[in-house]
Amino acid sequence: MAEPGIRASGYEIKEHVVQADWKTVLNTADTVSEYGATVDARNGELEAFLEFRSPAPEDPGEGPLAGLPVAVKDNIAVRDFRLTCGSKLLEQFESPYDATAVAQLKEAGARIVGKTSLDEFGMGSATDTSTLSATRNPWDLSRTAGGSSGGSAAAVASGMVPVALGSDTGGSVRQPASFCGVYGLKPTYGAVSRFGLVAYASSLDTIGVVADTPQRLESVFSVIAGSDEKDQTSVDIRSMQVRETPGLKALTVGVLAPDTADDPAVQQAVRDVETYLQSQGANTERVNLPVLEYAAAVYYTIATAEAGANLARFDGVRYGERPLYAENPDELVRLSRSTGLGDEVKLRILLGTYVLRSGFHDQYYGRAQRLRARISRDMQDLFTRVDVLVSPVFPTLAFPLGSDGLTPYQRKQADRYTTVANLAGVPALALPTGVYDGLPGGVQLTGPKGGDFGLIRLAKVLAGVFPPPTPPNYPRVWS
Amino acid sequence: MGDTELSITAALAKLDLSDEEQTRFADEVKRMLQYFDLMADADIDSGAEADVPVRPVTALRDDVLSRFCDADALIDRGPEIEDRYIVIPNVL
Repeated sequence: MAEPGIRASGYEIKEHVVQADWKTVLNTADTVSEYGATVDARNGELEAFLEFRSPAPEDPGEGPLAGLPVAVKDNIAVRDFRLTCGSKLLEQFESPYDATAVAQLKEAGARIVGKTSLDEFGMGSATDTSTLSATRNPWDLSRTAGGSSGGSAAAVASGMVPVALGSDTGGSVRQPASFCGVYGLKPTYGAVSRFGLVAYASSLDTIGVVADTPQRLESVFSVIAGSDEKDQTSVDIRSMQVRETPGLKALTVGVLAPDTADDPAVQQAVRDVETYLQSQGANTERVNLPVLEYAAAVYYTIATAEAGANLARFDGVRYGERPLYAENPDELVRLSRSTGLGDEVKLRILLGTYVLRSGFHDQYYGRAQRLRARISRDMQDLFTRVDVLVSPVFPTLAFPLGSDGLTPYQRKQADRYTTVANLAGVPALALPTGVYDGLPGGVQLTGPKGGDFGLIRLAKVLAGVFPPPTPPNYPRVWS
Repeated sequence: MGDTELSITAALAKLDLSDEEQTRFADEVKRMLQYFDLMADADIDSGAEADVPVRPVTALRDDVLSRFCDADALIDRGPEIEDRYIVIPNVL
């Protein structure tokens, strides 16, 4: 059951923060000190940050995001911060440059305060394949914050920062955002430059935004969206021909038919949004997506194949940890990778190498690429009939850490709702709808390519009815 | 995937697997490949004409030389540096 009291309380706090002039917040030694102490204490139990540095009070910045403290997932380059990717292999590696998205945030006056925890190289659903830390959920410390951007989601949900960058290859922004009760946007593929994002699966990777409110998500996304000569797949979505998302009365909404195997709270969240939209005059229709049956299989075939190629660069010569001695160059590479990479990464590299091998290519990778084309076409067809698709984010709410939770295999199967958007290159946004038996739940909005701002506008409308919740101990450090 | 196939794949991926890892990964890889078999029954012809990911226009930049913003900082991040060369362990 939803708990309106908690939601209302949280909304009041966050509305205050939204309206804050960030140039006048955290601009004295005292407030910065209080902020740093609060983050230190909270991070001790959550392990959301791998690295945190309090902002300089004398340098609030200039621009539309002046003074805004931002956290960045630790597979995105920030100059002079470490860039570990949650891997022992890169534990001491420090970035010599800024990712384009980070440079744009700094240019807009934002202050990067730290790097957040993640599954190793973004490969996981619970931030527990990291070899450096396992982030816990601010709503229940025995549960996962989700993954792979679990550190970013937990940092925002716990009030340590109002906004964070994450990366989303198969749901890695949306699933942790939903598990933690905050907003998470996976943009249209190419809408945000990938320069400075450590590649996992290049045709699926996106830099996304995790935020406490849809307003803040919009303000940050507006700054980082755009084409970039350093990323040839980048595109300015503002120049794309996209049908304007209409008001609620003229809105046509596809609602994914519920899967009764999903957690009842997950099904309830979709029904809640459907009922509200109907009450406002929107035209809703139940839709089936047959591609969901094999979307995760297609995703893991393609993602692991690309991962195998992308992670070949970690050979012990140019980056990170390596043995002191090797008999020959080949042994140097094998020892570096075998001792530096974790189990989940090795598994995916093995899978990706296998599906690309001569004799197996057509059976796996070739077939997956053709099915990806079909998924892309099915989504294009869908968005000729509806303006937006409402669906679950994940079949469960935040699951327990450890052996009581989902197995790695179950987690991969459960990625079916999120991977479709990555395979089709379309935008998708996870938003909270309430608190269900003590844990946040929500839905996913998916739109046509270039329809990112339309999704954000709808999320803003829905935030008025389903205010973003806040967990226990949400701090008022900025008040 | 049998032990031999796994060993060949690991060698191609430049990974050394211990006996324990060999056993564990064999099970996990086998399970995932069985999952991938879901794709075997799906219709792969009806979407062949669809464009896959993204861009509306080709985006090839001019083929001109440009210097990385801070090449020295990039080189300095190498594990061991000597006169702008990256030193690797003795491998002979």
